Amino acid sequence: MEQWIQLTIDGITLGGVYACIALGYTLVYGVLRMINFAHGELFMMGAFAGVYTLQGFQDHTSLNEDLPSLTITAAIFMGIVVAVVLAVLMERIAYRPLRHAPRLAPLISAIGVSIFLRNVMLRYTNARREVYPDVFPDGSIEIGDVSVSYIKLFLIGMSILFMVGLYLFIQRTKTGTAIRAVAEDRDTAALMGIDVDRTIVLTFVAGAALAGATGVCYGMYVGNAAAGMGFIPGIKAFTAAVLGGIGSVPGAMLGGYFLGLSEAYTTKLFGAQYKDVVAFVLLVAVLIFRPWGFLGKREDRRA
Amino acid sequence: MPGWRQHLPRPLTSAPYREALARFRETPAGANVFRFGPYALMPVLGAAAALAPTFFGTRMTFLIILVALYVLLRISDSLIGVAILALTLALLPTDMNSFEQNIMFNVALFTLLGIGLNVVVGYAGLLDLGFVAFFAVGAYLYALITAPDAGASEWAQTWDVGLTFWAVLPMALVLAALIGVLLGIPVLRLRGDYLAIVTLGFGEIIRILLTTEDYYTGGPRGMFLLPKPPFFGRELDTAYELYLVVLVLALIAVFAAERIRNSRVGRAWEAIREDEDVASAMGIDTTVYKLLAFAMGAAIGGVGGVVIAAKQGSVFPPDFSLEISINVLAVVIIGGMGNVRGILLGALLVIGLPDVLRDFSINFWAIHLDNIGQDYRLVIFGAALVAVMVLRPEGFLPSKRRVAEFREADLLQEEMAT
Amino acid sequence: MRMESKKAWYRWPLMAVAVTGLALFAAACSDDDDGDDGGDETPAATSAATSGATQPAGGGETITISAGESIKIGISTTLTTDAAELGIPIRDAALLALSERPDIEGFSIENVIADDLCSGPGSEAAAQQLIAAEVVAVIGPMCSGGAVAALDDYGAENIVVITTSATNTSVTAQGATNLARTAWNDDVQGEEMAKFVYNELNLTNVVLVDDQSTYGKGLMDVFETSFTELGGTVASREVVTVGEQDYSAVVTTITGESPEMVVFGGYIAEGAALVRQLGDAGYEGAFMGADGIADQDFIDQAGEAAEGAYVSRGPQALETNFDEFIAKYIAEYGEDAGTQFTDFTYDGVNVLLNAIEQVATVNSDGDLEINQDDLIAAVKGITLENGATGTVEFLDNGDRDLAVGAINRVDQVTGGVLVELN
Repeated sequence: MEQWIQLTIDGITLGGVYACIALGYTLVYGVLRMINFAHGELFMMGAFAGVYTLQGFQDHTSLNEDLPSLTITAAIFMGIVVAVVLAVLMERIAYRPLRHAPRLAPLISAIGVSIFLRNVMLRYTNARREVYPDVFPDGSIEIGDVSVSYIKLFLIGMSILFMVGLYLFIQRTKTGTAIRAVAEDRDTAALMGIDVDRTIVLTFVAGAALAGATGVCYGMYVGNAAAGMGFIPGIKAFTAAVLGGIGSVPGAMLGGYFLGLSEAYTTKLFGAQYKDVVAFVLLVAVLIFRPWGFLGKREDRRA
Repeated sequence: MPGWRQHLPRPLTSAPYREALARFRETPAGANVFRFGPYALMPVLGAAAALAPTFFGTRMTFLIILVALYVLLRISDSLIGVAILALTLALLPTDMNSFEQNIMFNVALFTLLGIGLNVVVGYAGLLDLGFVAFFAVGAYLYALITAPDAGASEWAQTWDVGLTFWAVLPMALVLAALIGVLLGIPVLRLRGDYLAIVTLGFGEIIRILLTTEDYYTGGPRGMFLLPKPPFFGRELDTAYELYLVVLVLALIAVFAAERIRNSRVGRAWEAIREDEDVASAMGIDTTVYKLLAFAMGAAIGGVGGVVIAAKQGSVFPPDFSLEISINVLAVVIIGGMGNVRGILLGALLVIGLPDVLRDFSINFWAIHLDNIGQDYRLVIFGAALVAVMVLRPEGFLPSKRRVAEFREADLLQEEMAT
Repeated sequence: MRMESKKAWYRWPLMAVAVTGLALFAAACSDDDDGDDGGDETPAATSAATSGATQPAGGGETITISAGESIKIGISTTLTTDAAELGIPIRDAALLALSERPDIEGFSIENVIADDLCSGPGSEAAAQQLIAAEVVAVIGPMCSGGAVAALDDYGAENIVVITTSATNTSVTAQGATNLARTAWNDDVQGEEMAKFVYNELNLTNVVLVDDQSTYGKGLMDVFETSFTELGGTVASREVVTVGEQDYSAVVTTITGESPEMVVFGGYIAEGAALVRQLGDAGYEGAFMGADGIADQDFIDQAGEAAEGAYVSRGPQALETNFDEFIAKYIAEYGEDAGTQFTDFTYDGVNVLLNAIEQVATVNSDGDLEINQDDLIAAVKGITLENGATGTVEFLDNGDRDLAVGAINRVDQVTGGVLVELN
């Protein structure tokens, strides 16, 4: 029994990461109807920004020991900044010119951006992993036989915090309302006086900020940053977004946790080699009964 | 936006030039130039093939071939044109070294795969990100039933089937088509990007099963020592000979695909692509036609898999990763979705470019960057994908209908914006 | 048209980039011509190639290198994708070895590097690139799968291949005559690891984890067979996925078995993540990895959790010059450089250069002649004393000869570094 609780915690940890990345997919899909394949790379760049910030603190100050909360916050902030700047550039250079292009053109453009970023980082790091300095306190909470390390708790907490933050941003702020309006109907939103271009950029910014911050936290959790680290979580998050109903913010969260938990349980039941098989079979099963995902809106027009 | 830009020369594709060209085309002389002019380019292509590898090096040859093929494919439309093109393509690599021939083989192989995926994505409008599954099915079928002693697979060693390449080809075609249908049935209700992720998952599932089911496939240790295709008492073992095999298969696939597109089936696909609900309301059985598209695309993918297994002489699960699906999709879209002729150009760019950049180094004035191609070719490739899409969002050679739709949508957007 | 006036701004810069790109192409190509001048024999080389392909093994040609030209050595390793983490140190070690011996018989040695992507098609493309560059011999390919796929390409040209890192048994099981391998094959190491765990550590209950690669799974298969034969129990076999980093579910499954030891077959990144997360989860048993993680990087990435882990380095000759080599390597590339398989690569290059020295003769015209068959025979028959990995000799199938005197060296992580046991 303890093992199943432990697995549930593992699943929630990973699921939170998937959910945070999936939110970026879902937001961008909502407003542009495009799959931003380069989104996983923003996650990766965030992790790199975080590791370089912390390494900087390590090399030049003693703040990592004295005041880890400050350096960690700074690292997360840098992760957000780098991911946001990249996302704005990405939108400007690779996606905006394709706004009215055939539907699959932005997909290939996004794949191009993804290949570009991954290989730039591979060359920059000379294919080495950048190791996170040991800033986070070791240790774990023990409840019976279940043990949860602090870093895991941190990751779970941060992912929930990020998601709630984004949810409030989308639901409560004026910009969030504009994003929802553009997602609903771009032309009508434009008629209502919403600056569509600006709103689309802001959507990218919101998704990127989340991905960048998650990248830093995840990097601290696994202990390093590598050029290829964004690819698989990116694909998984995309799956999670579709599972929850692509375009739906709560759906992406639900999809992320569902996927994380299914992976954790499958590892125990069938072995880790089958976790992706089970995940995709579940995906098909869900989509057969709910072709629009858990919380997706039924679209009458072809997506 | 006024300013300095208006003083720049107008691009050649801009309206005045295009209109002048159109007027020229109306005149009798112009009509003849347009009709027979392309064939004048054939010698250029031939000369490029014969001379360029020796005199200009791999990259210049690649560039010449790319440009010449682009012009040819864009203008020539008749059967004779296609025949001459096929002949030129067949003779093209004769004077190349084995490295360049290997690139040409890969380009031809991905052209074949692109033709298959184009049936699914371009004709029927179903986004398939798991095309590699059928490719893997073909390759592993070949490995399982040809090799007398196939590496780590116990099944192959026990049964020792020992068929030849030519016998496996039709079997792979049928098997891949069947699997295409099996995949199609559960996912038919899905549309657009939901279909994309499910097919992606299917591709991954196949790769995982190839890794884990090691009684049959040898798992990560793979299967090797696969035979080459026999041909009248000898074996086809050079890249060029296998290139010719792929070229013939691609030609057959093109004819089949084009014939079907111009039939009732093709029109049904088009209707489904344009608007599934309306198509269904018009009495088209969308289920059957979608399955047909999946089956046909899969069959061509399976054939491609047989060829790669024979060429490589070994199969390993990691070689059938998502990357292949993405590459084939990029080939189709960059070539110009829905248009078979564009696929060749797409393959040259997507598959050829990273490889011709392999030995690229810059030694120019004071700049010495050895091995820049080796290290940075994928950086360049990623940037090139973006640049190509931004400059030509509808692909190199879009089908005419697509261009029309594209422009229409654009004008509509303009009207709304103003 | 209205449409264009709206789009024009980005078209021009992009066009400019495209034109610059073409200019660079042209610049590089014009330079290419210099290289191709020596390639006047391209047709000759092609005909040599085809005749080599149609003849069975043993039909090697004599390569003639005219005065002033250089001897080309190909290096096939992985420079892009994540596997470059291993590939770049291999390249660097090869370059180090080549730089120490700049010429043979007055002919300079030139390296040609090809990226093999650690995959079948990639290794084939790299092979063709190196063949087209008219290399005399090749160091590589890096990965077992790629080596298997590319061997027949090299074989058709009678080019001798010395792989320094493709450790799977299948590589030498193909019966290729032109192959030698300085790295030890997985069978030897897997068996020795099992004996070490059972006999020396007296542990009987283990969990095996592999990364589903040719190397990792192959090694763990051998370990499982040997270990159960000795009388040990493999409680379960788990896998991790390369490219992922969160293995906590796998870790939970492992700790549920409460094994005495976790044995891992795979490379640094996955091994380090696994150890780290085992530590986070409060696992207190032992951990053992193989030569795939025998690197300081493993300890750096895994952090404190790596302390006490056993790392098999594979069979090692009794007397090696490893420390001397590694000092040179670090002096050249810095403390941060990866070191895995660099010692095997260094020895591989030296084996190759020694063999070329043995067979290369200067003819009356002052040209250097190297017979391919002789070169293959020389490589196979070589005895390299005092290598970074000890004395190197090969068996007929190209594997390292164990009879030279080798033990399976096992290190333990002590105080943040790898320390040899015994």
